[in-house]
Amino acid sequence: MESSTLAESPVLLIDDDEELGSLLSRFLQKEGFEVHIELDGSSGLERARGGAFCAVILDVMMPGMNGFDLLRELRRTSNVPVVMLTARGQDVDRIVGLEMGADDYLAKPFNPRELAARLRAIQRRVRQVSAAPLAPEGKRVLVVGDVELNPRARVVKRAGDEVVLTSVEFALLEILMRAAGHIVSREDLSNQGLGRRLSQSDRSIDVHVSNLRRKLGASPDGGDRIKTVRGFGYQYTGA
Amino acid sequence: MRSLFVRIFISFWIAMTLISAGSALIYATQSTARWERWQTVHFDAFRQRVREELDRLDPHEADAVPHMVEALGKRESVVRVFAVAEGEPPRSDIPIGAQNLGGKAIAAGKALQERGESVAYFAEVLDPRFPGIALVEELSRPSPVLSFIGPDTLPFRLLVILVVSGLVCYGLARQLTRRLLEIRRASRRLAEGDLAVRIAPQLGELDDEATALARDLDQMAERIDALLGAQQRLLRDVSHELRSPLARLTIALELARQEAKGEAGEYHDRIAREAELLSRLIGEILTLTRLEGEAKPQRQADALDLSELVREVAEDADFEARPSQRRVEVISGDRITLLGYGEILRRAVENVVRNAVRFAPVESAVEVRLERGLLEGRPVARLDVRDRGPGVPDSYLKDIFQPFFRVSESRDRRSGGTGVGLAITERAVRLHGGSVMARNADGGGLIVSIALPLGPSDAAAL
Repeated sequence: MESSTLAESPVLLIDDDEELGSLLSRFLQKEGFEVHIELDGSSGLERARGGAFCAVILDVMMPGMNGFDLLRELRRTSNVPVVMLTARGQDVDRIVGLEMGADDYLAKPFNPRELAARLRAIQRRVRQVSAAPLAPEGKRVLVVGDVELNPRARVVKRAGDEVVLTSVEFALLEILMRAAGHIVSREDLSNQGLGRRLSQSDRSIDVHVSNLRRKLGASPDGGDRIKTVRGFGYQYTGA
Repeated sequence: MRSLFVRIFISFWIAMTLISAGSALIYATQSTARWERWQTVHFDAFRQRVREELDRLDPHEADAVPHMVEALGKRESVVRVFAVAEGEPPRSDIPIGAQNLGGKAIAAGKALQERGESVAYFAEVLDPRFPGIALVEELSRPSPVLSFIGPDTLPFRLLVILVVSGLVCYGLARQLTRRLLEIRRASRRLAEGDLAVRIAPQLGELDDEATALARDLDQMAERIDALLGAQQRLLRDVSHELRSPLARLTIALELARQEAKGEAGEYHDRIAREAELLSRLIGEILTLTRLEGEAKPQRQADALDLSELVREVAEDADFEARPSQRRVEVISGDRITLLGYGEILRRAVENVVRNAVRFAPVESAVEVRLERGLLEGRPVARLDVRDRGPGVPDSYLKDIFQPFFRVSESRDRRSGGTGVGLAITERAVRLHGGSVMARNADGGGLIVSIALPLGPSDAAAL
């Protein structure tokens, strides 16, 4: 999935609302995206596993296999960026979604322009990675303590073992490790990592960072790898 | 309800005491006469026995008579009898009055009696074969002093009646009101919104009026519970169903914008704004119904830093309020951590602060205070949010936590609230075992106070 054409590959929309799907795909096409639609969870999962998509837009509320089940299954084998469509008024849903490895979320009903912006941010992230070999600074393998991050291969290793990260987690870890020992504000993490401005009362960054902490585990000396700087941001310790 | 117990107890007690005292009084007035009659009956029986014994004796055995009478008299408990012989010197074991009367009766040869203040004597020669021996009976009357303090007397009886009836009535009144108290305790919880409470099973086996009342209350609770549940389900389902068309509408709107290429932009913006308001409203109704429906959220409560949360919310609100020349200031922020549901609490605080900003006059500040305090003796985290706005009429201070309650139709709509925010706050705070109230501040403006209980560990922390 690290091919250079990935950024231009189609978007997969998994939503049981057929009319919404056709409206949305028309809108996104005009915005320059190619959209494939699946109307139920199990065929959506199959499609997402099989095809090379630049992103998956996933509705949480679906009959049969719902979005959470699908995401859990998908994350076993794929790190394709996922934008969850959560129900408004179900704040818990989006936290659960992010914890389960979704890259971003939108509360439904959402503004399709916002969705297009999020998809572009994902494309940019993917493009940056595929363009990395051209930037001399970007191709260097980052090593802090026992963690090794290879931007080119998009691989993170801890003590030699690969740690599987989603694209957002990877992007955030890269930013934090480049600035290891320095504090990175939540705003900067959002701008550079998620590709969008931090909005009011948005806890996405915190959930992603806590996912990162969980996946990386404690540092060899038992301390936190990523420190919270209260009310400001995060700091990768060491180096 | 305490007075009901007291009233039942006192009225039973008075009634029972009056009845008992009345009958005791009637008994007491007749008791002297009855005592005398009773003694007389005993005398008759005793004389009969003495006569039978005398029949068996020869006339020359006269000396044995006093011993015989004495022996028989010893077996008597109710009366005192003496045998007096003719010409006997005064004896220490016989009252002098009895001996005198006995002597007179022998001399006169007939029955005599003599009544004194406290005793009466009856003397009689029982057998003509023994003319020198008289039988004297002593009839005693209780002395006035003895009758006052003795065990058979009226004041003592009254005291016994008072104590016994008091104990009985206390037990009776307690028994009656205890079950009422239990019903009250349960109905109190019902009134506080705990619709799961059922009273009848707690009252035990006994099937009486109290149990019937409890069963009726239970039925009422069940019915209210069902009605509320149906109402919430309807609200939730309607909101759910509204969401899909609204989602399609939002996308169609953006398609229309693309097609129009800048034409009618003003109207498109207006449609977008209205759709956004609808969408927010639907979201808040769903949040509200979910908070109402669940006793506990599915997720575990986390230890969270309330001071940090309040500071973040205040900063965000301040950022939003600046363009309209309003500020949000954290006046004091104690460091407080507690167990809670972060997202829900954030919504609760956010809604109160946003509401305050909405009614704050231009160039004024909304003041946010977070302090430790005590509520009904329990440690709480107290969050006060004060605006300098017009306040709320005192009679509406409770109603503002009802969904869609508007103090004044036109003003509230213009202010841009959905009408559900404070209701969400109230439910969210209640979910944390806390309480929220509003009051008008002395210098004008509204203060909304949230009190969240702190566990012992929360209170101790830092």
